[in-house]
Order: sequence, then structure tokens, then C-alpha cells
Amino acid sequence: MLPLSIKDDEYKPPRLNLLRKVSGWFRSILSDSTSRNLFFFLLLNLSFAFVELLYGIWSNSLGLISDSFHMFFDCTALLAGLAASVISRWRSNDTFSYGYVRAEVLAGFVNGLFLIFTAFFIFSEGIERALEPPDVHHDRLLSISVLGFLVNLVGIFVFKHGGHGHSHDGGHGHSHSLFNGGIPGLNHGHSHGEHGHSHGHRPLHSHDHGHGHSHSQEHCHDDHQCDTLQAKGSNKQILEGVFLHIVADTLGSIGVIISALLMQNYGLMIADPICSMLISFLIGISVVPLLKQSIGILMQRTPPSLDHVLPQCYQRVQHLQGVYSLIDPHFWTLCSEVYIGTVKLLVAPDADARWILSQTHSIFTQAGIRQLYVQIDFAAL
Amino acid sequence: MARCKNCRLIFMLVITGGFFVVELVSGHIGNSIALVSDSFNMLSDLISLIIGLTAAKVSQIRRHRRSTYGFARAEVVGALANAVFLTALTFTIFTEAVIRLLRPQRIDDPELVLIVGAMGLGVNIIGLILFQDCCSKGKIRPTGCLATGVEEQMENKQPTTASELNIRGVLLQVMGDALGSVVVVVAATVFYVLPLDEDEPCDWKCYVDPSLTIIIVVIVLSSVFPLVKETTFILLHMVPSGIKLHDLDAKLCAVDGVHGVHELHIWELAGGKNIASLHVKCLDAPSYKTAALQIREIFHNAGIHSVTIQAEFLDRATDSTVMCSFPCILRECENKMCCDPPKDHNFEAEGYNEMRNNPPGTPSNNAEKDNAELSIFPSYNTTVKDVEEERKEATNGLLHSHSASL
Repeated sequence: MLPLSIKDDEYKPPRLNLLRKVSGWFRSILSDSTSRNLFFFLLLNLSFAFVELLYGIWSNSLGLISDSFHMFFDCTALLAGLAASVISRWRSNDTFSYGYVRAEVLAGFVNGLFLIFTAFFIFSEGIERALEPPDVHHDRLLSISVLGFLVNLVGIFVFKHGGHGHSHDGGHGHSHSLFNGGIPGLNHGHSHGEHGHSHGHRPLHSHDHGHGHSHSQEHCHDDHQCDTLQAKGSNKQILEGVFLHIVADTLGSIGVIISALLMQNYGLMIADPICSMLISFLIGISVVPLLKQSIGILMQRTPPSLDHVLPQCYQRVQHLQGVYSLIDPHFWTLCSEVYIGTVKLLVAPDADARWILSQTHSIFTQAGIRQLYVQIDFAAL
Repeated sequence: MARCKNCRLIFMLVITGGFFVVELVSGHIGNSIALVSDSFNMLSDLISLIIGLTAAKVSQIRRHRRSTYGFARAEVVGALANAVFLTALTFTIFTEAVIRLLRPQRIDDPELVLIVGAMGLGVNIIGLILFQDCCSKGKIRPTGCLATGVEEQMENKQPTTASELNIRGVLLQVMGDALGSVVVVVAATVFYVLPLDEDEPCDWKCYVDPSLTIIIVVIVLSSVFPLVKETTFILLHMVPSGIKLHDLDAKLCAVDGVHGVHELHIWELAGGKNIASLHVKCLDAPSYKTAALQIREIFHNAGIHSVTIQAEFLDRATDSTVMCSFPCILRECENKMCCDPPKDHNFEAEGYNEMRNNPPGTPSNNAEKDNAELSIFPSYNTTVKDVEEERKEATNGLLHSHSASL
């Protein structure tokens, strides 16, 4: 509303019938398994949130109402992931020459930011409650959080296996590295007079997702497998963000249950705020790897998995006959597993440019960079 | 002037930090929840200022071992982070306002809230004044150096674009906070002027606060949305506004010695720094050298100063195709390529199947490689043409291959 930007119509797609657009989106969502899973889980969460909202209004319980709002907030994270998985499949056009594949990196980044915000929010609530302990009544919230826990368990199983099941002979069991660290704390969730929130946030654990995943794309032996594997590769970041969110939620439900039990049976009122703060720390810590990776990609950082390989490639190129030096190399990640590079070679005036070009390309192709622009500059005599 | 951008951020940071501490302490001493929660609003302001400052500082790093482009993008990422935080914050505020509408509450100590709200408003107005000139410079869109060479002017304008986005993110956060303080002041004034007794039920006065808050949420969200769009487009590598890919294509193909242009990508690093890369098909090295100069001139006139040109050489005798020689050598790499290959790639041709059975090694001379290439990408027609016809074919083929990828 404030005049802070110009309206630039260059990138508006051509006007389509709204119904046709929406049905196109649905078709696109249902065609890919990842986005199908995301969509159905989103529907599940949304319906659960609506039921909670209606029940809260009917039974006049503020705790339930605010908890349902919290679930709506989580649904936005799922929605971001879903939107990204659909958008990243759009074809490239004149305005977006690389297509929209980067949408998944953005979705991972946005999800990470949402999680950090949630951690900050929980922390501040924990402090508030530590300073002024409210009276707690958690009877209804307990049953609802058990239901929420079950819903999130469904989500965990779906996204643990759904996105990664593929047959290939490279052998990497996937869903391994994401669950190693164990699930220490809980997300806190508490009910108290006016502001009952049961938040589930779980911090996950540090995972080394970045490099272990060159499984799917290496050896595909027929086209059909290739297509499905490509979709899974590019959805990795989205799934990670969504998975972190779901696990955070599940821990939250467990947190409500446990703190409710603690408070009911042992009267440990201080358990509540301490749990919140612990959980917010854990969430923050677990989100850091995802954020580091997506920020690195967005800032055009050299791909971490190529850090050791590139200097060797430079050496080999410089030893080619006729090449004086290799200047100005830039390598960056477009989206997961897709690397793009530009390099300038200073060559002798009489060098065989064609041969140098093809050699350079094959050297870098062996390193895994398939999109390379080699500029040959002939040295002055 | 550019140096003082960071000065402003630091100054605002100090003021906000001080006010946050004061509010927190006095809220704790005076035992008022309103003060404590308002201090957390200040905290979110503080966080957005920290993000903005970090982004501004980091983006000044020009070269880094792991990041060959430097950290120029930091400000764009910082602006997006600020916008996302602001969106999440407004969402939270919105939910609390809705809850307040369902269960209206009175303001218990209107005097205290009024004073605190006014002070917060003061701090935010200082911030607004400090940062407001980020956007009043007008629409700076560097569309490229004019041929008359107004380079200095461009240099001065360009660096502001990315930091503009960054400051805009901070400004939006401060503005949201200021509007919130306005609402607090208005609601507290209403309660101060027309006080409500302890045992009276809540009447229309209790609805002032939440309803105004909802209006603010709408205002803030609609202001944040353009910022999110702009940063997202930069991060998605959109062709910078003001550059038309098709026109550039046409100009490039018209250059002497150029037989085909493909894999043309243009994107913005940050702040008007545009980067382009392309493949150019030429006859041989000398004609490439002359064409390269003209190509760079075309890009320079369009405002793109970092260009990487990869030359591909036609083999006059046998090759009349304008297909790209180097997207990749095996079809399996298709899912690792950045873009879809043009539709008229005939992968199913016999030549390609031959290729698959004999994976290419590293050939030691040209001829083998050329033959290998040709068998992957059979030309449209295999008769030898002379140069004139090749050029005509080149432009037709180019338009065709580009329109196919759209």
C-alpha cells in the first residue's frame, strides 16, 4: 500500500481462465508423489486445525482456539513446500531462463526461517511464563495433543519413506541420516489460562544431508526411472524443511503430554517454562544446518561437495597443451545436485581451441559439473 | 553517504536495544505484562536490525575462498529474511487479535500503557525518519549503460539497489512496529479518557484494539508482499527487468560470424550486477575473435558486464547442424542439467543409440570427438550447404530452438 516499489508487468504470465489454472495445478500436484503426499498431509492438518477451532469455539476454550491457530501456522509451512514443489516444475521461459527450479531452495530457506521464528516465540513465551506462572488447566488440551501427536506420527512416516523410496543399485538407504541424533527434548506446548498453546517443535538433529545423497542420480538405466528420480532429487530441500517442521510438532505434542503428566502427578510447575526454553534452543540448533545450506546456495557459494575436487580439475586443465592459465572460475549450485560453472582459459595464440574445449569439458564432467561455460581467450602475440 | 548506511543501522540498533532493556526491566519491576510483551516487540525490531546490519556488513566482502562471487547477495537474502520474519510476526499478531475479538479484555492500567506506547512510538518514528530515504530516491532501475557512456552515474546508482532492498526490509519492520504503537496509544487513550470500571462488562471500547490491529496487519502484509516478490525474483535468477531476452538474441545472431546462439542465461547477482553466459557457434578461431568483441559490445550496451562466452566451432565439411554440441554427452545427464534440452533433439535416432553403446572416453584428437558429437545430435538434414544457406538456417534454427524451449 505504501509506494515502495514499481509495478512491473513484465513477468506476469498470460491471462488464463482461473478454473483452468486451478485444475492445472491440481493435476500437477497429483502427478508427483512428493507433492501428492504434501497435499494430503496438508489437508489432514488443515482439517484437524478446523476441527480443533470449531471445538474450541463451541466449548469456549481459549487454549484450544490458540492451539488451532498454531496449527494453521504450521500449515503455512506445508503450503510453502507444496507451492515450491509445484512451481519448480514449471517450464523455463523468457523471463526465467533457468526455469523455476530454485523454488525448492527458497522453500527450504523460508521453512527454516519460520522454524527459527517459532523457536524465538516459544522462548519468549517460556520466559513470560517463568516470570509469572499462570494457572494451568490442561484436561482437554491433553486429549487434543495426543491426537495431534498421532497426526504428526503419520506425517513422519509418510515423509520418511514417501519421498525416498526408489529402486536403484547404488545402495544408499536413505532415511537413515535424518534420524540419528535421537530426539531429545520436546516441544513444549502448554495450556494455561488465556494463552494455551501446544506447540510442537522439535528440533531435529544435525544431519549431514548435503553429501550423502548422490544416490539417485548416478546410474539410471532407463528413462522412466530417470524422470522419477529427477523429481525426488529436486524435492530434497523441500522435504527436509517440511520434515523438520513435522518432527518439531511431534515433539511438541509429546512435550504437552509429558509436562501435563509431570504437573498433574508431581506438581512440578517449573517444568513448563524450562521445557519451553530447552525446546526452543534445540529447534534453533537443528535448523542451523538447513539454513546454512540454503543460504550458501542462494549466495552462490561454491558447492561444498566440490570443494576438494575443483582444485584438482584446475590443475589438470592447466596442464593441457596450450593453456597458459585458468582464470576466474565460478561454480555455483542452481538447485540440489545441479551445478553450473564458468571458467576462462588463457591459451596460446596457436592453440587448438576445439580440443582444449572438449578436454576441459570432459575433465569437469568427471567431477560432476555438467553445465559449464568455457571461455577461451587467445593471448596476444 | 554509502558508508553512513551502516551508521544509521548501528545508531538505530543502539536506541532500540536500550529501549528494550529499559522496558523489560521496568515491566518486571512494575509487574506489568503489557510492558513485557511490548518489549518483545522491540526485540523483534532488534532482530531485524541485526539481520539488516549483518547483511550489509557481509555483503561488502568482495572475494572469499569458498564464494567466488563474494557475498554480494547477502543483502538480498537479508531482505528476504526480514520480510519472512515480518510475515510470521504479523500472523502471530493477527491470531492474538482474533482471540481478543472473541474474548475481549480491558486494558487495566491505561496510564502506564499510554506512556510506554508513546515512548515506543517515538523510537519507531526516529527509525522511520532515519530510513525513509531508502525509497524516496525513486525507481532506480539500471537498464544498462547508455551508449553515450554515463558509466559514473551508473556506478553510483547501482550499489544502492541491493542495500535498498535490505533497508526496505528493516523499514517495513519498523513501520509495522510504529503502527502497532499507534494502535496501543489510541486504545490506551480511549481507556484513559473513558475509564471502565472493574466490574462493568466490556463494551465497544474493548473492541477498538483488536479491530485496529487487524487493519494494521492487512496494511503491513500488503506492503511486505512486493518486497518478497522482488527478492524472490532475484533469487530465482529471473532475467533482470529492462532486459529483453528475445531482442538480445536477435542482435547477437545478427553479428558477423555467429552461426548460432544457445544456452543464453542472464541473471542478476545483486544490485544491478548482471551476469550472462552463452554458447556461440562460429566457424573457426579468427572469426570467433572478431565476433567476440562485438558480442561483448552488445552486452555492454544492455548493461551486462560479466559475460562468459563459450565458442563452439563448426566443422564446415560435415556439420550443418546448429544444435548445441555440449549440453552433455549422455542422455542420462538430462536430469542433472539446469534446463530442458530443445524439443527437436532427436535422441531416439540411430546415431544416438550407437553412442550409448560406446561411452566416450577421452579422445586424443579432434576427429574422434567430432564424430562422436555428430552421432549424438544428427542434423536436420545431412546435405552439405554453403555458408549463406547455413546462416539462414542458423537464424531459423535459432528461433525454432528457442521457441521450442518456451
